[in-house]
Amino acid sequence: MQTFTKPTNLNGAELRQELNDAGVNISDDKSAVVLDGDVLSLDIAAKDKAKAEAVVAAHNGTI
Amino acid sequence: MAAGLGFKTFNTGDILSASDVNGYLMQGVLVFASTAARDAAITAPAEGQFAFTKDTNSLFYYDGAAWVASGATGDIEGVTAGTGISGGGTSGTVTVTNSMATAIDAKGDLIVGTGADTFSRLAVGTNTYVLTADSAEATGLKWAAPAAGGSFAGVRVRKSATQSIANATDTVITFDTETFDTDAYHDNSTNSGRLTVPVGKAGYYSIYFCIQWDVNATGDREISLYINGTSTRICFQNQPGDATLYTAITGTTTYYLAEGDYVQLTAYQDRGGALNLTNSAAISFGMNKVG
Repeated sequence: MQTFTKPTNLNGAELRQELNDAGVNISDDKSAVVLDGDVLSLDIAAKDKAKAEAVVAAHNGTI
Repeated sequence: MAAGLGFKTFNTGDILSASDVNGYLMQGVLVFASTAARDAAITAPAEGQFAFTKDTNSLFYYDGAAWVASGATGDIEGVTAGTGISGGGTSGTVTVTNSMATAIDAKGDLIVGTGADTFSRLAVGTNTYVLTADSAEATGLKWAAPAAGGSFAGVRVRKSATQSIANATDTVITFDTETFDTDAYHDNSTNSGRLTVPVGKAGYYSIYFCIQWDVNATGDREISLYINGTSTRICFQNQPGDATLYTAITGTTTYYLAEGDYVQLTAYQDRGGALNLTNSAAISFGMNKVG
């Protein structure tokens, strides 16, 4: 799991799609996107963390 | 052998008849070498007749049916009370008494050792009291109320506010109110979603949760119970959303938890947008140590 700061408006389904669109492979498992307080954990490869960081920072999901 | 005639004083010049000899003179103690010699000589003994046998220095009388040893030959000169007994004597009827028995005054009394060869009465205790070893007591024992409280250990927490759960995001549920917490399993502010086993409390735990989702008909709702992070799920329940009713999800399991292990709940829903977990006294998460 790779950890990130929680975006303000988080939508797990939309974030998965955005990650996939950016070429970041993320598991379909429900626990692939976990939020614990303000810490967002994503089940992605470590090599994809930098790419995912930009996706998460830009994420503004439907709430 | 003639029966005895009793006692008679003979006067000078009296002539003794065979009846006088048999009835008076022969009524003394007859001396024999042994009981065998006695029985051979007296084939028809009369009641009240005496015989002495020299081999055992024993005196017998005939009771009308058999020869009976007469007189004590024992060497007991007295009875002295020993430990735990009182009384005794050197003559007449001797009474000895069990001192432990006489120390008892009431139903339920106990006789308890107080040292080597000594004892004392311990009066019956109060109803429901239990016998407890106590070296400070003269008897080493005392009656005492059973220890209260038992060894129950556990925690129950709940939410005082709603929690928004983002769409399709497995979110750790936080709890900010403790219904009870016997051993600091939970912290209302730091890692408030966790129930952590404190030092000395490892064991089997019955873990339960009762979580309620806000009304919404779209998608599914799921609550998962994890141990030590979100990799190992040990229980979960899910249901579809409902347009008019809150969706309540409950679950329970029993699991062995070591010191420092923690459990936490996550909530997951996929209605398309955020959805609240409700708050009430019924919304709970807890665990009780069962062994």
